[in-house]
Amino acid sequence: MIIGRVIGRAVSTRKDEKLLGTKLLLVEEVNPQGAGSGDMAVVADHLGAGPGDVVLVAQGSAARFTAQTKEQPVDALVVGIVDTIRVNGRSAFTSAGGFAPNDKGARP
Amino acid sequence: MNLGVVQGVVVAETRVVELTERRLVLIQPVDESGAEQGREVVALDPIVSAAEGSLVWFVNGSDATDALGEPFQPADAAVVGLVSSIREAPG
Repeated sequence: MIIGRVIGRAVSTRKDEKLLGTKLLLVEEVNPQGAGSGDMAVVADHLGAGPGDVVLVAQGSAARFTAQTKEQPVDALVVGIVDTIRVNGRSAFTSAGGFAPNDKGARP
Repeated sequence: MNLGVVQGVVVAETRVVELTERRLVLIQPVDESGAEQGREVVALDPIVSAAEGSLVWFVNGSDATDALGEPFQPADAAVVGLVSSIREAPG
């Protein structure tokens, strides 16, 4: 899975009918220090993630292994909303406090 | 399969119910000399419970789904072994 930050929502009114009722988020991949990679993906979400949330995204056929997505044409799914990330014994991220200050290009 | 170094642990309590394996580790892919290869990935770690700093091998994509067994989990990376040693073949 990749770590991503929700930066927006994609709305589509004309779409495959199997996608009706599925929220689509715009997610930017980030590193464990919070720096964006510049890569974006449109990701299906059934967990209720919102802008600013840090999420785990499963890609490829794995995205279809849930009850909601098994019949859907999706290749990326939010499988978790991240609470904490610990790197080398130190807290790198908490959902309450955001990414820890670091020297790898994080932004608030 | 890919080599990687376990850098840390990710906790995500709000998760899809199908993702039953609790342990999520942050992995930096590396080559056989230990040089970093590409971006970090988050993988399920159902077998090894690898500690930070461990060299592991992991699988990506549908291979990860297969490695985790049925009922299939929505995961695209999984740690499948702890690396004890690497020897280069002569020649």
